[in-house]
Amino acid sequence: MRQAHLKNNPVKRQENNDKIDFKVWKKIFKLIFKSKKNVIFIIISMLALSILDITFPLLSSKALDVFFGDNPQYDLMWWFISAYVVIAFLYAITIYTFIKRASYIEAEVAHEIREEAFVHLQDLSLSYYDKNAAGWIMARLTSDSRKLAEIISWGIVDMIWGIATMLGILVMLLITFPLLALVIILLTPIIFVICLYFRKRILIAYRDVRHTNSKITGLFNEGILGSKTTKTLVLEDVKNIEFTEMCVNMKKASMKAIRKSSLLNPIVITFSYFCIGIILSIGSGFVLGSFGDKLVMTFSTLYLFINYTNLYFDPLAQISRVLAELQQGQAAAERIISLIETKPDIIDRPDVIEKYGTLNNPKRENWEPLIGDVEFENVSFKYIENETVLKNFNLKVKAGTSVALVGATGSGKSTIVNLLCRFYEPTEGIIKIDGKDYKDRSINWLHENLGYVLQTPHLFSGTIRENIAYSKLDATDEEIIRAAKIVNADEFISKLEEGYNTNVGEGGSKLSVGERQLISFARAILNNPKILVLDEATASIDTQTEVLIQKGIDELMKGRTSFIVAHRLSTITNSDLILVIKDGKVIEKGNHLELLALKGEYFNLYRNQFVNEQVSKKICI
Amino acid sequence: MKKVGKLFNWLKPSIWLFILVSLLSIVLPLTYSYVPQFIKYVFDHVLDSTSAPNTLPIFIQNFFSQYAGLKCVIIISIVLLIFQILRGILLFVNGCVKGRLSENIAFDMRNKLYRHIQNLSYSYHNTVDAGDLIQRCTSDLETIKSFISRQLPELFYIFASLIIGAIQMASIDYRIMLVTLICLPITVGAGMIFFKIVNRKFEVVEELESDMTSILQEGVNGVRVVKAFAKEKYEIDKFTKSSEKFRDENYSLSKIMALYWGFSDGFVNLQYAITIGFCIYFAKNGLSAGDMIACVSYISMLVYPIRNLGRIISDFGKSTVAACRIDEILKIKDEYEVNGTQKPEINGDITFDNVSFKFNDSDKYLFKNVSFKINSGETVAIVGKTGTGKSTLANILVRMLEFDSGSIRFGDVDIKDIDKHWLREHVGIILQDPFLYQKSIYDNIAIACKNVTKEKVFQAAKVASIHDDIISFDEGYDTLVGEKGVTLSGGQKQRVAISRMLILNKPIMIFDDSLSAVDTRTDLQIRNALKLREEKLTSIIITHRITTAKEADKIIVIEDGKIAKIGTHAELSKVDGLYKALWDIQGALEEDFLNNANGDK
Repeated sequence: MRQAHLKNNPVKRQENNDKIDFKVWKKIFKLIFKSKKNVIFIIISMLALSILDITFPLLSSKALDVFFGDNPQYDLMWWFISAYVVIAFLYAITIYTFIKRASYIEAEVAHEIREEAFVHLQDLSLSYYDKNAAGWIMARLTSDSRKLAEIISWGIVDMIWGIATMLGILVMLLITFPLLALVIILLTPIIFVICLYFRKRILIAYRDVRHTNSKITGLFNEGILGSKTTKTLVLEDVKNIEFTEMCVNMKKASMKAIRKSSLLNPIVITFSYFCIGIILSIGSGFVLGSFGDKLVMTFSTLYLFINYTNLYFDPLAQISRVLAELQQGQAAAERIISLIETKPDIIDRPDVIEKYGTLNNPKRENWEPLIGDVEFENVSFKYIENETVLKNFNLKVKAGTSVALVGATGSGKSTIVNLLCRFYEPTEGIIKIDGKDYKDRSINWLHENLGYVLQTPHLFSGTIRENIAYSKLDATDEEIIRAAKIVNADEFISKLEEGYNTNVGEGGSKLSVGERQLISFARAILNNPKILVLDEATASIDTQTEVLIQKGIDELMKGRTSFIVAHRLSTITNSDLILVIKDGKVIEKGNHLELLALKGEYFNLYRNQFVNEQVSKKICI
Repeated sequence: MKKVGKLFNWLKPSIWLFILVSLLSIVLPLTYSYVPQFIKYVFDHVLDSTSAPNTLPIFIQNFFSQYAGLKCVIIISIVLLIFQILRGILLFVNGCVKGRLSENIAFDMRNKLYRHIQNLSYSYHNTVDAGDLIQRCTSDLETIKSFISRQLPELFYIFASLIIGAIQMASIDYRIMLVTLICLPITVGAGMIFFKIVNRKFEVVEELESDMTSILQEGVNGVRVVKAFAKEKYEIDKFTKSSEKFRDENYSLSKIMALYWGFSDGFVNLQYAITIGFCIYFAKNGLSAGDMIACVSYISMLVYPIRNLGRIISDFGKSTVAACRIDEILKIKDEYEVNGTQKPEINGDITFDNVSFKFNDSDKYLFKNVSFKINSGETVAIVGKTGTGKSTLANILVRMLEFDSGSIRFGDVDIKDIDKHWLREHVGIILQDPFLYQKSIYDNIAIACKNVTKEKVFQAAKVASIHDDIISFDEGYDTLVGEKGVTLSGGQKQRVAISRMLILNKPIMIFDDSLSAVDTRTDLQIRNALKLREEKLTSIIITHRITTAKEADKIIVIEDGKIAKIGTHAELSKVDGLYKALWDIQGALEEDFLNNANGDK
């Protein structure tokens, strides 16, 4: 019924800037109809509400007839009163039912969208996360899903009620006095078009307001975080003026929106009283018999007409609001669907899935143990067309070798690690693990044998224990403590009041960067990975922790194939193999002493860094 | 009561608007109450000929009574339409005036808060929780704004509607009015209880939502960790559980709402039943059809607005709390309450005379009785271990922090007599952790420069060796910094901050360890460029880099809260102490390193 309405709406056709996309709505409506029971309840209660809304004036008009007419029948009084009480009771039940059911749908649809999107997010490859800002992704699962669920659930409610009430009133009017009903029918499209026009403008105006408001919040944020810098540059006046300008913009945008939305109601009132005036005049003519004997009506019918006319315009205004909101909702729906329909770049082949199982259902019995030989064979890679980051990269390391990657930002060292972790796959060439292309085995197989330490350690809110156990959820306390001891984390953890049960705060905020780093080491080592990838931290850490971390790194690398992206050269002097990378190519290769002897790039880098570092260290102690 | 005063303080500047809004809130129900009287007139005096009373003004009634029959109804309809159009205009005006009031209050609050926060002291900003502060500036502000501009006028509206409705009803039959009023306390009571429960529940729901959002955020930001440990399924379970919890709590809140609105709407309809019942009952005694029609209309004036009373009362508490939270910020003294007035020539002669400093919350001095002199045009390096107060020394020089005793003089003028803005306009300091604004890189460099040209910006960027980095970005100098644009590395940020300060040509410049964040070559390049500058420059360089300190005219070594030594490199590298120790390490390392490299060849 809703769609029919849209088709019939001429304004929609003309504007055409955002077409109704039925494919989008089909998907969304599928979600709603998942809980058929609730939809049916809503339909029934909304129809019931329309009937009640229509019955109430009818009863009053009958009461006028019976008690205020020419021969009142007072003995019917209790019948009428009982009828009113029953109506009151039914109102209570109907309203309770539809609010409850619509809220259920609202909550459920929002949840379903969130869940489906989140599940899909877990499938998506890293390239998706690199292309889309975290804030953008999150907005889909929070504000968009909420908005959409709200618009849909309450939109259905208002739509069913609105259409049913309008139709009901029209039918009643047509039955009682078709001629007058015609007046209202003729005026309906005009008012509807006006309402829809205003609703759209109002929504757009408020979108501007929200946009400006977010800018003001941004300026507050900047004013607070940047206040020290502002002071040093004596920019207070500049910033104040900038802020005031934005506030003036806000005021303008708000007033524009307010003016528009203040105009709608008076317009609807004027129209409805225009109609009431006509009905009252013509109707009175009928009652008084001014139009001849054939066209006569009772004063109670006139009263009914006035009431119905008054009642008729509210649903009209509601429907126009819902339609305008649905149009906005479509944008949210499209964004969510685009997320859900994005295909992950990196997936296992069907035959691999058959043998190794899926993420949810791994067939571990078929998994070969991972030994740790790694080979890059003519590997090339580009994130975007025409921008090759890595070209014909070759590397063969035996299990247990420690490899260090050195080079400037953008040289391609992170890419090598991304490829090894299969966050990305080579555009050309193959990567072999234990002599076999890693695409012949499942992603899961590799990841469960991988230890990974990020440059900026990422902890989840929860306890230290939970964070260490992240790599092996069923780890025993002994295992956890052992892992912490190996990387020297146990020392600081046991000093904490609550030890391993200490809450790390959101993102680990209650711990220092160094402590977070140590926990992420313990996490990486807990499930005894065969391949270890470590992106070394650049953040400055106090010297004592740094010593601990250095020891931790050495422990981590023991007996595993390890790849370390090095920023501080002092940490990698013991590596078996150091690769100096520039513009996607290996320019120097060898161990520490060999590379120093070359007196090339590595020599210069090392000299520069090492000396300064050592002096700084002395100062910091 | 004092707390409530804080809320109403915001009303003062817009008091006339508020009075206008309040008047309109009374006038609107008043005019509305006459609409049923028009209809009533038709039913009582045109369609019937009763003597039922009417509250329309006598002159209008007289005007209508000149006509009869259909003509009269048409005239009444036209007058009613005009009346409604006038009411419509009034409604529109009301909307706009309310909006203006709300926006004026928000405007005042925003500006006052922003300016005040800007002027709060450096030490305040060092300790404040930015998130909490922003919360206060946005959502607390909204709460107060909507309470003053919406809820408060609504209070007037509710009571006006109640009283006017009651009077109009009484003009028909006071007994019917009394019957209708009797039920009101139940509506108000139920509303108050309901909104109290619901507000508490709302908080729980909000908390669950923020829990869910943080799980989502951690999952998205930590996607590498999740994938690397193959914990996708675990994350899904965690998120789903939290999402379900949020959903269930939301639903249970809605069920309470459904219960309340069901009850409340049912009850309102029950009131209709009672009132209409009485109307019918009194019909025997001559109540007219018009009377009943009007009565039914007036019920809505009595019963609907009052339902919001409970909400307003419960919101009142919230708004008072919000006003107090904002007042807390405004009560903090801003740093310019203590300020000098002089604007002397600042040429670079600085004298520290027995300066001591300690942090407010500590009773131990960070440094005590520090005295030294910097001459105009000198380059001074400050060397010392971490935590000895080198940055503090720099900060008190621009009065970001206040020292406890002693004096600092620029030329002959005491620092406390100098206008703070004047001082900072002449003494530039580049902080360890600089902040870049959410603007283009170009604007970031040019932001504080009054007569900026492209050449100057490029020149400054080149000196700070950030120019090449900038032009390598897709949009070059127009690249936005921050969330919506490019994320700069720590070193790049530092270099933008340096070029931003270089462009200003200030006579005194302080590098608070900011040169350490750039590589040695850039460091040297910046220092050389400063030497070549036409205007005389006095620079103070706080550094860890011994090679940088070495070239200064004067090296100040701070140890144990005191100045250990002052001298040139030539002097200090010969006497025992921290500087010599550092210099020796440097030399030894260099030598050691070279031997190592060569020896293994």
